[in-house]
Amino acid sequence: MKLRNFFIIILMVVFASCEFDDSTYRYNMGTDFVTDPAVLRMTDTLTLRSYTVSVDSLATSRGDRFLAGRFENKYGIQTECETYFRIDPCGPFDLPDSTRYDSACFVLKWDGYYFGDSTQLCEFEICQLTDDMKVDVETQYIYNNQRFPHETTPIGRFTLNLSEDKSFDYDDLDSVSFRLDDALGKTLYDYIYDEDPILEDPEEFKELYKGFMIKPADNNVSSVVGFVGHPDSLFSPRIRIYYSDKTLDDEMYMEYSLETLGTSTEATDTNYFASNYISNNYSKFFVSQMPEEEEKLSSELTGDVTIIQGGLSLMTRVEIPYVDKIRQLGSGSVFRAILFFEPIEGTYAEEEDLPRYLEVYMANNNNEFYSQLYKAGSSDPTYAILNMKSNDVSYDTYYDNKTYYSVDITQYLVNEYVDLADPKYFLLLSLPQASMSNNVEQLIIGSPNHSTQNMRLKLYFTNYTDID
Amino acid sequence: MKRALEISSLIFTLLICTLFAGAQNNTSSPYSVFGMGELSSVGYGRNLAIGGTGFGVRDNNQLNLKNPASLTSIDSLNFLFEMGVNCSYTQFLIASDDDKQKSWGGNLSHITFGHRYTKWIMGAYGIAPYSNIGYTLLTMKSLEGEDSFVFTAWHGTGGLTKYFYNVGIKVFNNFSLGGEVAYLYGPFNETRKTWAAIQSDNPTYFTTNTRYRTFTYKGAFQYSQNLGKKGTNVTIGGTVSPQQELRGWRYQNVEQQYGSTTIDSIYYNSMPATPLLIPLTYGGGIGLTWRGQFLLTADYEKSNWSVNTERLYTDQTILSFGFERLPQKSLDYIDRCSFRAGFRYDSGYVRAKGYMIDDTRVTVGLGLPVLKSGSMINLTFEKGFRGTTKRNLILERYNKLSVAFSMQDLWFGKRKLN
Repeated sequence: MKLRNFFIIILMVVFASCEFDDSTYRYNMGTDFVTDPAVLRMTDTLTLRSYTVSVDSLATSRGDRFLAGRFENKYGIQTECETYFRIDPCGPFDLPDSTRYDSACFVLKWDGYYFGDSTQLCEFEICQLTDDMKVDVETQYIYNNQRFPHETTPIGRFTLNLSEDKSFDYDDLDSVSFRLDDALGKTLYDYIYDEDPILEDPEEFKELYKGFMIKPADNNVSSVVGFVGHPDSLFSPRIRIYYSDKTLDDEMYMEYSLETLGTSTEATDTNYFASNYISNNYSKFFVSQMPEEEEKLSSELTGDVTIIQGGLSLMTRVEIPYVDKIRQLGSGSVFRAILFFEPIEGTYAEEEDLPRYLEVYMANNNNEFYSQLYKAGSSDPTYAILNMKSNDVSYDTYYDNKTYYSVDITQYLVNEYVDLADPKYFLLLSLPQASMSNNVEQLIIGSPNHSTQNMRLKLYFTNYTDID
Repeated sequence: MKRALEISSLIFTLLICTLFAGAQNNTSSPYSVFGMGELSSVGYGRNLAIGGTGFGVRDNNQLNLKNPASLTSIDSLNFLFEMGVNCSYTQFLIASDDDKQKSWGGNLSHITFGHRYTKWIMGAYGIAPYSNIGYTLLTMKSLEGEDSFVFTAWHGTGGLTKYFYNVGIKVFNNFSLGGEVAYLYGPFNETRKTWAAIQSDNPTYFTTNTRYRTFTYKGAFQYSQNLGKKGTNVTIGGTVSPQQELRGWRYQNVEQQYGSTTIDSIYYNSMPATPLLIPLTYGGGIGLTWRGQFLLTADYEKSNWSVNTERLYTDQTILSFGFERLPQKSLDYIDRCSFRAGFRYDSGYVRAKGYMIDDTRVTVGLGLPVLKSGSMINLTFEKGFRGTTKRNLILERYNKLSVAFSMQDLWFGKRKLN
């Protein structure tokens, strides 16, 4: 081929490949340059319904917090907690003959948790159990609704002043220390002094000392308080026996500490029997009791509020019965859905006391969990986040200077929108499941019909006007 | 035989090139969002440099595609080949924004082959972009039901490519008729990404792909009259194309994105596209040659685009003027070059915000002969502006350099050495 023709061909290829274009820039052409057929709109008119549900009893054993006390909220719901536990025998100790029993104390450490009115004194009683503590045969747990019989006469009483001792102090190992009944104290002292074989045999020891319980004094309505309840902790509860010798040292003692392993079971886990009884008394509330596990209690029957509470698995169920009405907006897609709800004013002392976030689950009509709700297009769970009044301006001016929760439930709406059938799943708003059993945190939220603090759904929808 | 092989291999290469050319039409103009995009048929080669005029131009050595009847002026050659490329630099000005956007672009402008059949019939065929689409826009509007904003990013590509065949017939010595059959074909692709300011990670994508096609026809005439002996003559010419309908098939796809990974398909459909009308177009022009040294041209062209019922279309008027110092038979290379200049006003065929998107340009050009053949390299520089900065529209200031090669059969012939 001639050089000239070759040259031409090379030229062609160069020309053909010389097309280029660098249009990485954009112009903001405003609204009237071209007509955008997409219409994005927000609607908050979808009907919502809210219910209180009591999903399940909660396992409260093997925890690390003792809960005891009583509190009554604005709506007359009285929350009561008792804590049950066992102690291990004291290790054998060679006491000189010259020692004498002095006194016995019970030592507890307030862990800083309280639910209620911190300005009131909390009075507690400690009693000995008259019957064995029992774990559930299948699950090996003790649940929040289990109580065990106890002696009517307490072996000790104590009072806690929360306003004085409001912070958890590491230097102070025993924020609560109170005198126990001397008859019990002397017996426990004698086991050691006499080198009684019962100290070598925990089984037999727990036959005699079936357990103890701490409960609020009968008429004391103040707060529910948390104590360090883990046997591996420096601050763990214990019975301390003081004795004297012919020395100047008057701080000599031995301790019977919180049970480490459950001996009557094949326990491998610590703190097997220590458990909390948690219950609510609804006698002064709109309804006298909560519905069964698979039932729901409409907010219309409870003064347009629903209750969420830890320790009792109370959750709020939210239903969007006419979700298919979105279709009346035209062809398109849901790109955002935010549920807003507000804690009822007067049901919490300070914003800081409110749970920072709630978990959101999809559940069927029987309140059985299907899955946690995720953010649309993500594997991250979505949470109802507390937005405090003190927060800087929220994007929605309606909520400026308000305390409210907001949660992105886009994925739920997308599922229900795509599915043409009736709603399959409902939303459950719950306190974080992981810490549910060791607190009685209560959140009372307005229903969709609440007069001043109503629950609202903002649904955002893209509607294409140029498709059918 | 060997020569035939060389020519066919050349043609084969060209065909591959045209595949690329047809696949990519090139512009960065935001106005290409309207109608069928930015129309690119100003002129090729020599015509481009004289303001795009050509109705009344006859050329012995180059193809004048503006008027097919002019093909008969090529009376001494059997085969011609022309192709061109261009490169442009555009500034985009907005009244409200001091920050000028800039864009570079390059494109293959045309590839044409001319063939002589008899002494009085000449044909030409080729490929050239007819319209170019290439825009990237951002529009904003309010969210309904809440005090917030919605953005849409528009991205468009594509355009029509014209595959054409021209024929010129010499009816009398100074009167010729011509015709063109062309096939227009090409994609119009648009993707709109819409998102709300409050949820930018869940955008919606609306994709439309349309492939349009139609045949167009053109009739043409040219008449020349000598005015004196020394190469002074006047030529008039005109063309007319009837209205045609662009039809196509449209695919629409709507997708909703959630987060960074999930994309739900919301809607998919294919349907006949809304037809677009390529209107009745007619034009006429005059060319005056003085003593074989200078050429003066003037063209007028009209297309009544408003037959399209959509409000944005408006009738298009094009006025153009040209001047050329014709190449002289001389040993001096400069004398053998041609020097060209032109002016062109195009009222445009669409309106934006009520304003016509008109285009005004001046052109200067050089025709450089290659060796001692009649082959020529045509260089053209265009400078112009399009649009307006009124009502926040965009004024495009463009500079464009085009290079066109016009090659004749002598290139492909064997030279005999004595």
